[in-house]
Amino acid sequence: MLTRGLLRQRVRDGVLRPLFVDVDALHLRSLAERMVGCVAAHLGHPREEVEETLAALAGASRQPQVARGLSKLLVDRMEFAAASEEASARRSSHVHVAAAVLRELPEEASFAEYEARLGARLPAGLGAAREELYADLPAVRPLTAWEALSPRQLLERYNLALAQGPLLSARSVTLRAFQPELLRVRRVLRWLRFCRLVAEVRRVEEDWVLEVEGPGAVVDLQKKYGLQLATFLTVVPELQRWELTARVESRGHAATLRLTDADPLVSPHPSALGWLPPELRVVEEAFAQDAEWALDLTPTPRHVGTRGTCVPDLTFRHRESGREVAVEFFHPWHAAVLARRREELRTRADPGLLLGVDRSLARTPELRAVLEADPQVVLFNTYPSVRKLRETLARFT
Amino acid sequence: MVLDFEGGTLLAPSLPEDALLARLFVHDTRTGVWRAPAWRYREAVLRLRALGVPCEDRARRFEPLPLALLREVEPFPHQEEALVAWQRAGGRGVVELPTGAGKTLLAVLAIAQVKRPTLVVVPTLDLLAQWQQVLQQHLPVAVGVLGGGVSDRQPITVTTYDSAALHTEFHGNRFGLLVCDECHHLPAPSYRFIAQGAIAPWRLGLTATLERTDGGERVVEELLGPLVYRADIRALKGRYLAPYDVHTVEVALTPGEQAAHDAARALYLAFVRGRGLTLSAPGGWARFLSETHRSPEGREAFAAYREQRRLALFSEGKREALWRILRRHREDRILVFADDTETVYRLAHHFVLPALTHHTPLPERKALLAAFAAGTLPVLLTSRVLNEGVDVPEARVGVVLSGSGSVREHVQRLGRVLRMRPGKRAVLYEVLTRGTAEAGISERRRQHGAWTC
Repeated sequence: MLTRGLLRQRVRDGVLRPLFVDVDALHLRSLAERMVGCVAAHLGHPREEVEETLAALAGASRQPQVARGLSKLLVDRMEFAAASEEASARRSSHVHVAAAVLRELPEEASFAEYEARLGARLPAGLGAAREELYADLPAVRPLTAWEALSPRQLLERYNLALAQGPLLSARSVTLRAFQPELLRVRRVLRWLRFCRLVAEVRRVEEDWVLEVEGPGAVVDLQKKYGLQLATFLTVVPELQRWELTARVESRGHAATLRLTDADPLVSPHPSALGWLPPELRVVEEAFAQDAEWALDLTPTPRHVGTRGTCVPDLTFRHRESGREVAVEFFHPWHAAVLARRREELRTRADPGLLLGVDRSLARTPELRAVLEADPQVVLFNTYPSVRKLRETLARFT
Repeated sequence: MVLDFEGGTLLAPSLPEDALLARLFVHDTRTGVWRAPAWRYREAVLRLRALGVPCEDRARRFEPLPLALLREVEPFPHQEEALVAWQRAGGRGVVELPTGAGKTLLAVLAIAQVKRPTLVVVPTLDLLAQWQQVLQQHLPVAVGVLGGGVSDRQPITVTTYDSAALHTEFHGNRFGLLVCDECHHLPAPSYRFIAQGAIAPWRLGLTATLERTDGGERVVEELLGPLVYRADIRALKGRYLAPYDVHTVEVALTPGEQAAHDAARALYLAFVRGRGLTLSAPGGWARFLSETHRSPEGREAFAAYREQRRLALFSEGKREALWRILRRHREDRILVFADDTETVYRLAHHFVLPALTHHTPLPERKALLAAFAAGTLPVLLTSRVLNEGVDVPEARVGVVLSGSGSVREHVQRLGRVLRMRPGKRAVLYEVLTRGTAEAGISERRRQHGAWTC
């Protein structure tokens, strides 16, 4: 993250826009290359030396504020040696000798006498003892490791940090995803949960709109969620087509931060999204022409129990009444989640949510009997058939 | 009905019809449940009980603990009175006692009485170690620590304000008693959540000086309970606190230092005036910092500001005065306070004496305090980390070589040398450099009854 003084932004007509850099600009690529190279070359060197070299590179740059920002992001990725026990032991020895000398000297002794006697008592002499007394302060501890990244990635992280900075003062963000894909939606929701945020999610035609806040934002709590909102932003570029707005503070004035997929923001998360089972395509094709029910593969998350969220795998919408029936699947590896979900439904009923459960999860006769008797449970083998789904949906017409 | 906890809030999927509960909770349209700040837990549960509504309480994640004291404790009368006052207030409230009057022991008695998992929140790592040690001596359970690189949560846990602010959303429902040491810190925006996001029905605030210049004591009283007991430093002096003397020692800069100081001061003041800045105004310092980093002239002014300050804080006269004090009290334990870490290390380097700052690793801190207590290291140099609460009863002499204008800081520093010992008379020296800004700073920080008794 960048500190306030390192943020480059402009507010015009109440809209705040970060001043992103062009990651392909030659002079910036060259600067980033030198800075990344500097860190790699300074492994084992004292912290103050690394920081001074980076500061010198920043000072000589055509865009010193950008360079200082890059430097800050690099320092955040560095690890320095911990305090050394040997240094601590040496120090302890020196100060104990000094304490003994202080005690021995008469009250009227001068400081020069103290130095002379102390120098004689310290094996390496007073000068050397003074030199090494606090030679292990954080500024002189060596760089031991860093989370390496390429010059281009550094510039991309810089742009992301410029967008994250204003969010530290935000209380909520509004995110609109334009016709998002199911797997991307799932990833965003997982990240939302990871960031310990809650969202009111609504569909606007094919789009998906989230009002994202901290759980305590609706009650009178001093808790700030800016850091969590800024962390949430890192996953947003994965949506591909999106727009994000937030009320933020800039130099004591309120402004609206506006970001879109046209901005040069790149998610630092791994790009693998997971996969959709082929059976899902069969269901999708079967319901494409269904006269009664339309299948929606980018479903709206549902709040379950007191504090759970589930993202149904399928949402069926009755073409006439508009009634929605959501189905969440539980495969053999979902035993714990199934138990939790059933408990959540006990706490707060949600008749529009069906639990599709793989028969292998009904491990005991007792549990099988319970699951078979539960009107919200649909048992299946590997994947529910279209016929089974149609039979179940018939109960809701 | 079900009650749950999430991220410092209380949740209920449904609520009975009741005006009081409706005031405590709001309907959260985002998730469809009712939500309240966690600190309303006590009121909510008491109300549900009064209404006779059966409640499945999933919010509370603590149970009573068998907490008989390991050794008998005979409290001082003021400790006993404070405990009774706190109990009468329903186990919620703030106790204001001077430093050295035994606030930690009062908390031990409160924990033993409540017999519930307890979170003790303290401002510094030194206090963290000290509280852990004292609680461990008196309680028959392991005492955990959260902070300073240690993450060991136990039914009785000590943590720092910084760590607690980060962790309350996860453990705010794990403790029945919340003890906030030096609770005047609590109103800080980043710390309030520690009390707001915890369900702890019992709460105890401890401080030597509750009053804040910004009126923040009202926040403390709302979140921890009212001020239930106060004992004045003058009432305890001589009986439960050591009697003490305060001396001011004025020193002069050398002619060379004075000339350099005056030149640097004139340069930075010209910049301040030229920019129309008022350092004492709210946000004045931040504006000064911001202005000085925008131009070479500003950077020069900032360097001048630092230079004149360095000359005042580390003058030859001060070093000489400190040397004389060290000689005069060569049989005593002496704490030397400076305003900043840089000055502490300069002094440490000059005198070859041990420094205790925020850079000092935790094991070394413990070793230094132990050696100080044992008398093998009779002098400790420190900046602000020993200002608060750390128990160094052996210290008899305090030397304030430099400090801020804060009354609180000065009272706290005085408190470090006031712990009662038979025959002890404490001395606090304040060393000022004549002809610098230090005279005004000294005047400001001495506005407390402790200097007039």
